Amino acid sequence: MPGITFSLRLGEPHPHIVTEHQKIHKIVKAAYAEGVNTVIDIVDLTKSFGRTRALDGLDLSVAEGEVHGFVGPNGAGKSTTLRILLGLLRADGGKATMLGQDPWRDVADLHRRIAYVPGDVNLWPNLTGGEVIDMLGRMRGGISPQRRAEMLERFDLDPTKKARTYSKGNRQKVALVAALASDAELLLLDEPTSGLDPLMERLFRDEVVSVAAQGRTVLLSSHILSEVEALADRISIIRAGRVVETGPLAEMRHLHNTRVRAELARPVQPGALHAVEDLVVDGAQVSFSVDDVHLDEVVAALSSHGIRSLTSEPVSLEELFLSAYGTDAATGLHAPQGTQDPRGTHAAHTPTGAPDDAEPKRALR
Amino acid sequence: MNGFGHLVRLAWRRDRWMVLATLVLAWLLTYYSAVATIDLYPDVASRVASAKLSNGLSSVIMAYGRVYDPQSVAGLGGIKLQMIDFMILTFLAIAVVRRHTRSDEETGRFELLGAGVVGHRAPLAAAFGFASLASLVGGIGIGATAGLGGLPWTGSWLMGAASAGTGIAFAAVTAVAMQLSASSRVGSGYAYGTLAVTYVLRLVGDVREGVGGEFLRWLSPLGWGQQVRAWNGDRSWVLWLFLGFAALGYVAADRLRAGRDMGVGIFPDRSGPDHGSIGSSYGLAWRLHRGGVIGWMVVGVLLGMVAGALIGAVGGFMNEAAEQMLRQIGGTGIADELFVSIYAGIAALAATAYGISAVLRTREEETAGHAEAILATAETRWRFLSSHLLYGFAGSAAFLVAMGAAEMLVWTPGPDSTVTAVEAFTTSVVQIPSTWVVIALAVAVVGLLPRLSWLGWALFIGFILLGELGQLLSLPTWLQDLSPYAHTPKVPAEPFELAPVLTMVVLALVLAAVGSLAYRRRDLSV
Repeated sequence: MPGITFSLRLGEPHPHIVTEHQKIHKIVKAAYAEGVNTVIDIVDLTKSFGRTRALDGLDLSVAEGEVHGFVGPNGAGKSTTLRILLGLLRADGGKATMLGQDPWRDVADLHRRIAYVPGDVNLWPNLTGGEVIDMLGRMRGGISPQRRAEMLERFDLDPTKKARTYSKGNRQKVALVAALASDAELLLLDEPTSGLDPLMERLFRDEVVSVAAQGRTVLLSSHILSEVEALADRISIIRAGRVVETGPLAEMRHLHNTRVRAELARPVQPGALHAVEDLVVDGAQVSFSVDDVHLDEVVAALSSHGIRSLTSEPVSLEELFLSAYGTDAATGLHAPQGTQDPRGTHAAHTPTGAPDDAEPKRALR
Repeated sequence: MNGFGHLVRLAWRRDRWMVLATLVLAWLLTYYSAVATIDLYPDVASRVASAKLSNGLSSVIMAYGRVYDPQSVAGLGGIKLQMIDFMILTFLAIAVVRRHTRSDEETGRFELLGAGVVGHRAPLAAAFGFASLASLVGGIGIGATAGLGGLPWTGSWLMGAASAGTGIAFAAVTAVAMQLSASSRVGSGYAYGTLAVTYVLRLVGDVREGVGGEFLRWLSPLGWGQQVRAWNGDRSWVLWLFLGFAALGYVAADRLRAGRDMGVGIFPDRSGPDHGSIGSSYGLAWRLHRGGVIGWMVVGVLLGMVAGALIGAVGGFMNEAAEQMLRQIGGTGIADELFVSIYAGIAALAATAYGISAVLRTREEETAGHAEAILATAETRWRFLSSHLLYGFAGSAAFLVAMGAAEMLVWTPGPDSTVTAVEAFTTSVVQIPSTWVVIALAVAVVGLLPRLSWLGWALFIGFILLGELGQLLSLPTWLQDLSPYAHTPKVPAEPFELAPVLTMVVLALVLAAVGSLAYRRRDLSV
């Protein structure tokens, strides 16, 4: 649905507007363009550390201008993949291409065109934040002073303090400012907001959106699924060194159910709602998941009980994520790639986190 | 003091191999040196003669001190052994205290521990306690092995006690240094600097015995250790000085600790510039190394000045027997030639130590996660690596050049001197190729075996031991020749030979190239 997403910096008079329309335009354009550029193209990548197999035939494809979410459990291989792309590690097998070049061989050329925010930012204790930002900027080939000043102000970072006095969040801000102030074609972000407060995280999201609007590409690896959901055009879920699902969130959702919560005027009759899964009845409140095919008849059944309030949500990324791992961990199954119907595994799945408690996802879409 | 016991056990768990290896090394050295010393001087007459000779040579006095009882069994071998043992225990104590005070704060481990039931005092007390315990155990072992090697038991136990005392004294010094400094690196700089100062104080005090200035050695824990006069008079009352000093030092460190927050030094951090001028790995390397390089240059100049000024105190020709004896401790030539060459040899070791630490910085940057940030930019691996190698090789060479130049400029020879100022300079400079070989070995280790980067230091220490003790323990020549230091031309006594110098330079280049290539090809571990 076309809509408008606002984000306001508190106290500031001018809003920062990116329309949904622009986003859709970009996707459509990308879909119809001949020879859409793949900025990152990884095929069958393998990497082992001793006996541990970190990457086991990983495939990843990131198109130009998109924000690509990269999610997976701890130890799945996200950081390893990023390190291989950065030329810090050498893959054992498979092929990786970034911006048309080889990440291991063409390091210097390539790194002029990218910016990286590491998962764990360690700075030199005696340098100030400003010195680090300038240094990293120069090492990349240049940094725009206005952007730098703008970023410093937006993220509320004091560049004159020595790095050893920064808290974890501030250290992260240094790396973020250094990356966002650059004009790199590709941003590789590894859990960039893990230490930031919600306000700063919101600012970060705005920045990523504006970066993407300029046609630049972002690979965002994160555990904060709401963030990935809000920002990413396409998502890859990695598990045990392989990508198990990839595609636009909308497509992945399509394969799953809708979560519905309703408050009814009259308590639900037993057996009235039979096409649903995970039914939880709490007095007048009901919640369940339903396949879109049956949505009509279920809503009709609810309506016959008198609906006081109704909330429906597409399955969250968290649920998708958990369904790819949840009980599969015990059975050893994993959801196959692409469009295969995971309903078999989904039926057995009970969301472990309480989705009702998760933040409302309707707000920004 | 809650948590003291736990923290000491934790320290043991973390450092047990390092401590064990060091202590066993010290004990083995002591044992074999004791055995060899006894063999060397089988009767009283030979001992008296050698004692007289060594006391007559300033170079020996400078390095190890005086022999007070000419009839003592231990004699020159004993005082040399004791200085080595003091140094070993001191280095161990400094390392241990550093690791368990400031380093832990900086890595955040303290925070983790401090959230548990750990009293304020406990971490410092545990670090100091553990270092003292290690020194004590080391001292006891040293005493036992010396005695077992055949040296008189009273002297042996006293030597052991004195060694333990120096270790504990420097544990206290390090504890204080760590409270004052802005970081653990700077703090260990203070501690090693203090060690160097105490060595010089002892040195000057010994040389100036009888002519004023002798008191200086009483300002130095190394001096006290020596004045215990193990096997040379056996003065046990001196040991109380260690106790008093260590107690005072610990109390001072504890008071300072109470006055500061975790993770910072006593002096608060000032803010810095908001714009930086660093533009490349080379700029960053300068920022990281500049303190060390400048400090070492100053030390080099000072050492040169001390040598140049003291050369006048070295005098006399020697007979065959004297030359024989002195060759056994690694010098060549007559009086002041000997002095200059021994002095340059020690400087070579210092230069190598600096070079290795500069080169190993590369590995530290890697494990700290800094290398990752830099290599994610357009900086290549070679630029990053070479920015640190530059300081290792050029810095060590510059140190030796600075020392030689200072020596040359301050050269005040005595009337019988056969060494010219220029020769003093060249003796210092000719040490460069051998230091480069050892430093290049460290580069190779960083490239090929990064997880074993401590090998860089281990090889260095191995070469030192080969040099110091090779002759004494009658090790086979091929073994002694493994050390690059054995191949440095022994100027000014012997003529300069180009072949070994060139070979070593080439070898250093090859090793450094191998290490660099391996570094470029390997995974960057964190």
